[in-house]
Amino acid sequence: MSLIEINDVHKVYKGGEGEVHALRGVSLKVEEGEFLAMMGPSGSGKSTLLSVMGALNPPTSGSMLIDGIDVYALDSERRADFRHEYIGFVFQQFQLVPYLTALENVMLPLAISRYPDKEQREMAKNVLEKVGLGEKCLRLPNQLSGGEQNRVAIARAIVNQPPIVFADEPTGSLDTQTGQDILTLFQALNREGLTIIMVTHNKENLDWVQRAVFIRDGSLEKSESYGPRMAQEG
Amino acid sequence: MKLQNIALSNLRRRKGRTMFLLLTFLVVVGTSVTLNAISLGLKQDLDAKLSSLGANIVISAKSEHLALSYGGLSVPGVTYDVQKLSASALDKLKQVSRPEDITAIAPAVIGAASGDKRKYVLAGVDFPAELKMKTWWKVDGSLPQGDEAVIGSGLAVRDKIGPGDSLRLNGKSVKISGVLEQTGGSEDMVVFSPIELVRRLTGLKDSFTLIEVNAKDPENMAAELAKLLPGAKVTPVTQLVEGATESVNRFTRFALMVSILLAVVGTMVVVVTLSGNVNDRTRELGIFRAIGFRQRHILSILFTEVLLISVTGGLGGYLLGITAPVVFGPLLAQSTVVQSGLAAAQGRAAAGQAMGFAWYPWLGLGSVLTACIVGLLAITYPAWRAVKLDPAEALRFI
Ligand SMILES: Nc1ncnc2c1ncn2[C@@H]1O[C@H](COP(=O)(O)OP(=O)(O)O)[C@@H](O)[C@H]1O
Ligand SMILES: [Mg+2]
Repeated sequence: MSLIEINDVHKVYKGGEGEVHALRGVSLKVEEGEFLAMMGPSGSGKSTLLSVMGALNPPTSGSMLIDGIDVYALDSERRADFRHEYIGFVFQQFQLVPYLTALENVMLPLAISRYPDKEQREMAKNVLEKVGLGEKCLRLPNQLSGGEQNRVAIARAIVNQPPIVFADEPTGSLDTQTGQDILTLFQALNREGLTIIMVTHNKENLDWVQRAVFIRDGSLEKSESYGPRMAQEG
Repeated sequence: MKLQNIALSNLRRRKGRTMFLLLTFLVVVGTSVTLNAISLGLKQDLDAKLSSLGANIVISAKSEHLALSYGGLSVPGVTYDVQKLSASALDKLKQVSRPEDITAIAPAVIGAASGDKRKYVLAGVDFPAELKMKTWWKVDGSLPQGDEAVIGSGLAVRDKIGPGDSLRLNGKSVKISGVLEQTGGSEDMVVFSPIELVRRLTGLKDSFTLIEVNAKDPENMAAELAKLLPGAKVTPVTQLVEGATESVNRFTRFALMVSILLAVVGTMVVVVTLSGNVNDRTRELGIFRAIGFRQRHILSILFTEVLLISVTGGLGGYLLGITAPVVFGPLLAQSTVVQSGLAAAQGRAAAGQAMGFAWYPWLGLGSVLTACIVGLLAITYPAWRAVKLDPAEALRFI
C-alpha cells in the first residue's frame, strides 16, 4: 500500500464567474519516504492538488487515502486532528504568524498537544537549531530574512514529527542561493525518512527530488523518476 | 505554549489596536461608572441624612426661604432673613392629646452674623436637647457655655480656627470651645451657640426659627400640631425628603440612560474594530486550521483575547469611574446637581468638599460583566466567520 493514493480526483470550483474545473481526473500514488515535485504552469491546478492531498480541500469527486485512511470521510474537526498528526505545511510567503516569535511560531503545532510547556520549548528549539536558526529564535517574522522565515516555516512543519510535509512553491520568493539551501535542507530531512511533496514551477529544483509529476490544465501529463538520487538514498 | 499565550502575544504585539480597544472600554465604562457612582453617592448621602436627621417633624415659620434650611438638607446662606416662631410655640407643643408621643424637642434660633471677613450662619440650640436628638454629633473640645460657640468642621478648616480661638461676630468676641466633627451636612459650616447668645447677637428676641420634634406617629402628630400652631409650617420629614429624592432619582435615570447609550455606541466601536481584526486575520486563522487547530482552539484564542481586553477595560474603567467623582465631585456637584435643584448636594457643594471615595462593589461587578458582554457580543460575528472559514480558501493567496 502506498502512503498516499489518489484515484480519479476532480475538483470543480463554483464561483461568481461560473465553474472552474481545476482538477480533471487525477490519479497518483506517493510512496513513503519519497521527495516528489509537482511541476506545471501557473493555473494548472498544482496548489489545488496539493491542498486536496493535504486534507484541506475536499475534492468534488474521486477518492484519496493517506495511510489507508479515507481522509474526506472524516468530519472537518477530525480532519483537523488528522492534519495535526500526519501533515506539515510550508507555504511560499506570509506563512508565519506575525505577532509570534520564531520560537512561538514553531511551537504552534505543540500548543494543541499534550506536551508541557518546557518540553514544547525544548522541541521547538531543537528543530530551529536543526534548520540553522538557533540564535534567532526570539525574533519576530519581520525581523527575519525571507530565507530565514522559510526555515522557521519548515521547522514548524516538522516539529510535530508528521510523516508528510507539503510545500507550495517554498523557494518561489527566494534568490537562487537561498532557494538551493532550502532544497538541501528538504533533501536532508527526506533522507531522515520524511515524505515531501513540493509544488514548483522551476525546472532547476528537480535536481533535488526523486520524482516529478507534470500537471497541465488539471490533468497529470507524465511522471519522471530520477534514479541516481534514489540510489543515493539507499 | 498554551492557546492563551497566543492571544496574549497578539495583544502585546499589536499595541495600537489593543490600546484603542482598551481606551474604548475605559471611556465607556469610566463615564458610566462616574455617573452611576455620583448617583449612588447622592442616594447614600440622602439616606444617611434622612436616617441621621433625628427629627421626624420640623416646625418652622411660614417662610419661603426656610423650607429646607436646617437639619442637613439645606443651603447655608439663604437663612439671613427669616421669620420667627413665637416663644409660646414651645408651650403649645405640650397641649397635644398624647404628649407622651413626643419623644424629643429641639428648638433652634438661626440667624446670620458678620465676622471680620465674611458672614456666618449662627444656630442657637439647646445643646442637651440637640445632642439627644442628634446622637451622631461629636464635639472635639467642650460644649459652649455663655459666650462660647462650637463651630462646624468645615468652618474650622476653611478659616483655620479651632478651640481656644475667638471669632468676632457682629462686633462681639465669641470664644470657640469646640469643633463639631464632620457630619457631611450643612452643620459643617455653621456656628453653634447657646440660644441666649444667638438671640443677643442677632436681635431675634423671644422667638425660634424652627423646632425639631421627634414623635411616634409623625404624620398624625404633624396634622395635630398644624392645628395648634396656625402661624407655623409643620412638615413631616418624609415630605421634606420627597423633593430631594425625586431630584436624585432624576439624576439616577439620567445616569442610566447615558450609560446605556454609551454601551450601545461602545459595542458598535468594538464590533467594528474586532471584525476588521478578524478579517485581517483570515490568513493566520487559515494557518491555524492547516496546522490542525480545531474550531474550539481558534474560538478559545479569540475569546481569550476579547475577554482579556474586556475585563481589563471594565476593571480599569470602574477604577477610573469611582475615582473621578472624588476629583471632579465639587465641580459636578456645583454645575449639574445644584442647577438641577438638588438640595441634598448643595450643602456639600457650598462647603466645597470633594465627594467621599467609595468602592461600590456591585458597580464594579456590573462594569466588568457589562464589558464582558459587550466584548462577547462584538466577537460573535468574527467568531462565527472564523468557524465558517474554509482553510483552503484562506490559504489560497499564500
Ligand atoms: N478557491 C478557489 N475558488 C475558485 N477558483 C479557484 C480557487 N482556487 C483555485 N482556483 C482556480 O483553479 C485553477 C487552478 O488553480 P491553482 O490550483 O491555484 O493553480 P496553480 O497552483 O497551478 O497555479 C485556477 O484557474 C484558479 O483560478
Ligand atoms: Mg499555486
